Amino acid sequence: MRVAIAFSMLICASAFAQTPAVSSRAELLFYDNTTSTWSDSAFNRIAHVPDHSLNLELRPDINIEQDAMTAVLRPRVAARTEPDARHSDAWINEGWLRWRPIEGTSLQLGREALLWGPAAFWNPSNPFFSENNKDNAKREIAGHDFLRARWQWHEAWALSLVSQLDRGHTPSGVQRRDAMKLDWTGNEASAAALLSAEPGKSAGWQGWAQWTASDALIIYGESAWQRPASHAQPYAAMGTTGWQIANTSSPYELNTVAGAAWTFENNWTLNAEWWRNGNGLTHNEASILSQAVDALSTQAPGLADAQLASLIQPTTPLRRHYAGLQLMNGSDAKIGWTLRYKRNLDDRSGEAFVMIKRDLGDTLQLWGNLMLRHGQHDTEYGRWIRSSAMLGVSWFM
Amino acid sequence: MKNAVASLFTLLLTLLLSLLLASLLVLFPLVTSAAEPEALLQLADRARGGDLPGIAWIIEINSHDSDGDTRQVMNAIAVTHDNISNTRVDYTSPEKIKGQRVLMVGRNMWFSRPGLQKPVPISPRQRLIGQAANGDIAATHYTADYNAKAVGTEQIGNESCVLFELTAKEKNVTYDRIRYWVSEKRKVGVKAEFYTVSGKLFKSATFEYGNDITYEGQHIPFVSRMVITDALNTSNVTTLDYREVRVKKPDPSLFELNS
Repeated sequence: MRVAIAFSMLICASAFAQTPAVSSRAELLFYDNTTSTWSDSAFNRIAHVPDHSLNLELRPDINIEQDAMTAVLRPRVAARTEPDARHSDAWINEGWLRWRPIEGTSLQLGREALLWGPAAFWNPSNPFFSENNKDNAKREIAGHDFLRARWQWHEAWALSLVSQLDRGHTPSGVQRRDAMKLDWTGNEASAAALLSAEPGKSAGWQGWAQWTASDALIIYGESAWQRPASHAQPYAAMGTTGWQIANTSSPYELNTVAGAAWTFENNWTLNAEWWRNGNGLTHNEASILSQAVDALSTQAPGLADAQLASLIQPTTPLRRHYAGLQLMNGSDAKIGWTLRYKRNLDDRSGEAFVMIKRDLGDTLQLWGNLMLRHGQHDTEYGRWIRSSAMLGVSWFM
Repeated sequence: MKNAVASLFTLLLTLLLSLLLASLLVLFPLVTSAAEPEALLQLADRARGGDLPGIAWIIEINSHDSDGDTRQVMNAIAVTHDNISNTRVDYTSPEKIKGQRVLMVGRNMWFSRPGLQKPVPISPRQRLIGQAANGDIAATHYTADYNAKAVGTEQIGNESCVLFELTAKEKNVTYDRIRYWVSEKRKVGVKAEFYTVSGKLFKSATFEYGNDITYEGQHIPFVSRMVITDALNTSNVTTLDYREVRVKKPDPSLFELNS
């Protein structure tokens, strides 16, 4: 913390030495959010999902730049009204200071959503963030607190040391993690390799690569070889509910994504991806999970509910093999749309997304998102949330 | 006898040297004529941002098509090393796209915008707006990216221009084939036609050079306007205006993906 304060003071002192360039933008979002669950879901009794809410969010972004320094502040204010409750929140989603003391080097401290990886659906190469916001571009990923140093000693090569000091506004997840990242960028391909670890735990390897094979085709992949975080696994046992929940930890597993993107002459782009989640449940584990959920859902509230709550999403993604397709039109289109479908190849359930936006002039945008799921009641996408929809308007300032 | 042999030797040597000199006189113009078009193309590249240590400019794109008129303004910085061109484009106007960024490192391209957060890889084929492809806003390096062949001279307006047939060295460039007219007098590209892999003309462009930059003590005319017209529907026109051009070598870390 003392290092952070000293660094901030140094940056601020330098920033005030000359007049910095300040730029800003803001987005005011007003939207309606509707969510429905499968009526036969065992989780309806323990996790109340508001079926309808009205939301107002203000997202200002402020950038301050000087020769060697950059400061970014992205505070957020949100208010939500549900049929029987009201919520409001204010937080710093991202806010960081970057100092470039000499050419090719940078030192950065603060909260940021440090996302990378070429895949559209899942980015196992990023040990700090388990998800991206590609399923819903209007939902922001909350930043974590990082200290990172980068040294680019060659046009093509750079080495970064990254420390996650805190998970920031994210309610759960790993608190502290360190990583060393090597980036390479060639003329038509690029790649990165990471070695990361939580303090006192075994390290994991991550990496990604992409190749612009032609003017229209990009081929890419991401991988992680790591020991996953422990997850809740039920097993039949003597006791009140007849089930016990244990946190089990798997050995080293390979998580990998292989994909390609093709841009058509009309500017549409199709992404096709296949991924293997080595940390996901096996067929046998999923079968036991399903039996436990079914059994617990018929029992009296109390311990059964607590056990059910721990089984809503034991791992993300839940199973081992997936495929995804994404088709989107060009960024220059007046009406922008994206269609996404991902399928759990192990239990044959799936999830479809439609995202659409229509510009109403230079400062207003009408947008909508629709998510629909299908699958049996014991499958990943058939077990709880059935659909959700957002319809909103954004005012850019 | 000895003198006669010496005279004959001197005569043969003179003849040989004369032949050698004559050969050089015949060959030398061919050598220079092969080098001249390449040098001309290199100068034309320089007037569009290529072959410079680094450059910064503001680009305003106005597009007119059946959907109406669109205007975008962006800041661009570019640097070249080992024939690899890096360009970063930050959108500044209108408000709805402010903060968006296109990063091009060689043929690698990424797009990011506020909210989306994660940089998304994009292909060179993806269009930015109207008829303008990502490659159109980057610095031009036709000498590095294309095999050039001067096929003749033609009048464009009142100017005599060398017509180049450019064919892509690799399949990953924005255009597979280009016909490019370069002014002999001004050493700048004035017109281009862009063709698909199948040989179909899909757009054409004209260039104006109202900007002026100073590099290594030389004043160089610099592109100020590129007008791109769709070949199928000539009423679809996209105009790129370049202003506030500065020769400046940027810090390599500005091209960092997570910067």
